[in-house]
Amino acid sequence: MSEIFEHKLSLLMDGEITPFETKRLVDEMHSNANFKSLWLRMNKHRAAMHGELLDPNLDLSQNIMSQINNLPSSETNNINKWPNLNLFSLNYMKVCCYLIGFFFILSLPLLNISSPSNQISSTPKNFLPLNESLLVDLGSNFNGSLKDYRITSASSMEANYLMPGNDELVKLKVFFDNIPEKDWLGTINQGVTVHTRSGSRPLILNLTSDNLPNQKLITISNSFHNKK
Amino acid sequence: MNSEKSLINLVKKGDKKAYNVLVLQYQDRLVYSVFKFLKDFELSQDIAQEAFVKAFKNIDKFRGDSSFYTWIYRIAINTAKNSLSSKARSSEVYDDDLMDLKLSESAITVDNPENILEADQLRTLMMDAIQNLPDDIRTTLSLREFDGLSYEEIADVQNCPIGTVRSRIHKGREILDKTFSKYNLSNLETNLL
Repeated sequence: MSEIFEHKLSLLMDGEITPFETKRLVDEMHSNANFKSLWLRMNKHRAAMHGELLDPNLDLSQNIMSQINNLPSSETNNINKWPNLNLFSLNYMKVCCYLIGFFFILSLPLLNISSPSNQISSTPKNFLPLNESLLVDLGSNFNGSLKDYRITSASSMEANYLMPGNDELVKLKVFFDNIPEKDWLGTINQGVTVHTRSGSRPLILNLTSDNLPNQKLITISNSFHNKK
Repeated sequence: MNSEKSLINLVKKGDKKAYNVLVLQYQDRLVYSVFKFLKDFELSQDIAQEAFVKAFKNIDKFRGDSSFYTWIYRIAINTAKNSLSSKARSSEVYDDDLMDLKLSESAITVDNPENILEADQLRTLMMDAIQNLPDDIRTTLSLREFDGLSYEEIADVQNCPIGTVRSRIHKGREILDKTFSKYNLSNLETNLL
């Protein structure tokens, strides 16, 4: 059993470990029964020390996880809302794009007869839902391949990118033009933020990553500046 | 750094393995808390189990204002109360007074299985093991476990690098694990004889 992982389990108990390492430990515990057993024992020591241990052999985890695995999907729909871009969901996205494109074309005459004042007030309508190609294009700046994304509001999206050659993830928050500052500042509390453009449209981008240092994020953000 | 928050975020993204880590971490403490309320060991296990499943189903509602344990503790205690009130209702004479009576009765009739005695022995053994730790390790581990100090605070108090704090705590737990494993092994042998 690796001494390093044992050490990290101790850090996990005390909340002294990074999110990236937490994910690694979770995966390691799942694949290595010895680590899982050590984690169980370490928590039993703690419970015993605090006088909170009733049965040293108690382990409800198998029953609990079996119940959770048997939950109907309707009861866990609120978890994992992010779409995965696998083969099936790609087909699903294609159908959605066709439908949205179809309704967009139908709505063009309505947009044309709007008065100039209406056009200003309806600026968020310029936001193109499911603008996957823009996200792919943004990712190409730093060789990130689009993993998944979601629409977070009428004028913002979030996307995850895989960096080439490893499993490092970069999260990108995209805010479209004319969004009030308070709206995008409210959702940004870490990472690197950059103001750039896509064609004539101003964009605000926020880059974060659980496993990349800020310096690397700054390098990535520079690629947007250079493009601008 | 907040590892618990990271675990919760993983669960919210659908990672059940991360939830299993939380279950392993908190199950003993939760069963103990419910047991203090119900004084019924078997029922306490059922309630804790139900609470963990409910918490998983509602994890998107957990905003992180409190710790995960505080949140699941509330779920478990509410589940315990509901369980008692539905028992009272099934006897068709449910009212608030009866509910209070049931709670006080359950508090008196303590179901104390052999395992609980075994846990008492284990606690004494662990406390002895802590007392026998080398001074620096014992002090560091005690500051963490009993005073709830962060690694940074312990490093300040002991005037040593944070890496030393990490190593001492890990070393202490390693020694305690040996004691725990020896106890479990000898207990297993006794049960087999």
